[in-house]
Amino acid sequence: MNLLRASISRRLTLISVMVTALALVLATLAFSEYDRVSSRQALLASLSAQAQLVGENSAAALTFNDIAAATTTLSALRHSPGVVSAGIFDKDGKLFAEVKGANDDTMVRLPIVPPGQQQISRIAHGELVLVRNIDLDGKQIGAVYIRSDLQQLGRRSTRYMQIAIVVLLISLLIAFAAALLLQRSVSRPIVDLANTARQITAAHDYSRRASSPAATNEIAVLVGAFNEMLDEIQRRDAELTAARDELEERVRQRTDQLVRSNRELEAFSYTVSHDLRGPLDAMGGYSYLLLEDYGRKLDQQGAKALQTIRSEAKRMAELIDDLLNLSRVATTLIERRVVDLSGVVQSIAQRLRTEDPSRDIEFVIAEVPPVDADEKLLRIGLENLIRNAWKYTSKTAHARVEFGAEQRNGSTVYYVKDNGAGFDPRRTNELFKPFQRLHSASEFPGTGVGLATVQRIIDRHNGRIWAEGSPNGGAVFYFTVGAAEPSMVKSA
Amino acid sequence: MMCSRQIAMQYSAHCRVQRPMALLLLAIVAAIFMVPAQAQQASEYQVEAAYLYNFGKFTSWDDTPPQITICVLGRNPFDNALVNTVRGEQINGHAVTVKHVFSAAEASKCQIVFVSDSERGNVGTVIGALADRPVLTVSDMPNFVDRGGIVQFVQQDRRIRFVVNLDAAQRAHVRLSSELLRVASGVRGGPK
Repeated sequence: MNLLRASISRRLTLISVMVTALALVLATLAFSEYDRVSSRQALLASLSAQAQLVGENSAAALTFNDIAAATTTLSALRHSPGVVSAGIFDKDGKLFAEVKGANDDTMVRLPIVPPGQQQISRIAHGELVLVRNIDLDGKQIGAVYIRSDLQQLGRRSTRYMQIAIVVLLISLLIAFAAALLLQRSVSRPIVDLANTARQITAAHDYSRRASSPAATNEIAVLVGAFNEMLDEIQRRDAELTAARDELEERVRQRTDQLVRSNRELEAFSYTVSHDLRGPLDAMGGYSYLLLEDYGRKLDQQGAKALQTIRSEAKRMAELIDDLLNLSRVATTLIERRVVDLSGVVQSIAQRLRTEDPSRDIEFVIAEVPPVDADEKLLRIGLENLIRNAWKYTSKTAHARVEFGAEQRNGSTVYYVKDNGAGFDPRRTNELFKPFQRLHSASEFPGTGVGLATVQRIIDRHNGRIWAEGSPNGGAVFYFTVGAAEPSMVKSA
Repeated sequence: MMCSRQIAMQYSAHCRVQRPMALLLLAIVAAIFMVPAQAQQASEYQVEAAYLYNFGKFTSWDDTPPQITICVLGRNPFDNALVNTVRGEQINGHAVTVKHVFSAAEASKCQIVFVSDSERGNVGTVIGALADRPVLTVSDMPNFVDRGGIVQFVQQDRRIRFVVNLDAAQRAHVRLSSELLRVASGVRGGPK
């Protein structure tokens, strides 16, 4: 319905006018009905009085059979408005005298006065017919009848209705104007409140307040409650902001602390690794000199011990190099650029072939979509992965190493796949821990730092790395490269 | 007639009498009206008897006795008509009796006296004797009101009417209602 969609002010006006109209119509109907009934009663009373008068005045005429006198008496009724005809009957029921219009030859069936009553009246065919007994000295000597048309009453009620309609229209107009004026006192505060609420919702500006109406009614209570609610929202907003600020501040402090201690740790491990290199290099150099200059003087057992010292020193140097690499990877600033990973893998494969051309190994390198990443770091990461594959396929005939990419859930997943020794899938999560090795050094040499380094690189690119494999069933390493963070605390 | 017993309820033309019944009634009415002239004479006195009684209803006396006596002075022309008319009737709550009297002295105790045509000879004496008594004198003899009687029956258009001598009524302290005077065919005297 239209009314339901209309604004509150229009609805109030409409309701007022409708109620007024209803009340007016009902009142008009009631009054016109009252008027109809009462005017009929008045007419009846008037006719009854006239009939009584005629009866009394014509008693003698009836008694002494004087038709002329009776007719004269009746003639007075002719001037009574509305009277159509009138007549007198004698006590035998015969028409004694009558006056009627010249053209009036209507035959009217008159009602019979019931015994014990003086008169009877009947309304039919737009006429009121009244019959009244004429008594003389307590005895009925005849009766008088009067016929009166109701056109007068009809005209009267028509005029009444016309006036009522005019009054109704005028009243409605005035009621409409009054409702327009009066509804403002009710609707304006509500409309204001609604507007304020709308503005607050649109602008998220909780500092606004609805203006209080002058009156102290329910609307004022509503506005007050609304404003209190806004106060509460503002208060909570402020509390939340304060809490968030405090939290951010705390996070920043913690991060700073972490970064600082991390840097200190890395600086320490770098220093330690670097400082370890010095004595180690000396050990390597002097053991070489010892082997060159006195090798022929040593017996077989001594030469083997010296050889072991040399190889262990070399292994320790590699270990220190890897550790240095790892700490460097963790601290270097990332500089993202578009990198062609296929090209990177190609160059790594090239170098490996040059290092050991005797290997029977096939490289399958697919073209992969370019990625936005730090080339130096990714090169280190990929070299670790490819070298791993190279290493663990060393005992495999027809070794095969694959590099490629595939789309998973809308992101690019790169992989390095080999058909080498593989690993026990139950120990997958140990793979990326530093110094954890799933194969013995005698089987496959290594420090166990390589995959930890790769994970650090991928972490720093907001990516993910995981592996699948089975013993002697080869291994697949998957990784993704995430987008650069907008602006995080930059570690220098 | 059957319909006319329920008074004044319809035009007689509307009388709802079944046709055979109407014919029978017509026959009876015809039989009544075909009685000889003497019977008609009697009917005239019947009307006069009714009038005599009804005059009482439009007349008031100074000291109305508990019983209103209607007297016939001289030869009674009514036979039983007058007695039949007043039998069981009352006038304004007073019982009514009929008395046959033969002298003015007797008549002076009555309230209404009908002076019979038989008294034509000494009507002057009778009127003189009753003139200042509260007696309503009525007669059908000619010149009755001219000679001092109060009410005189006259024939008009074959109907019985009456003439009133208001002076005589005033002298007798008999008050006649204005209605009676209105339906009288003639009024003598009165305020001029």
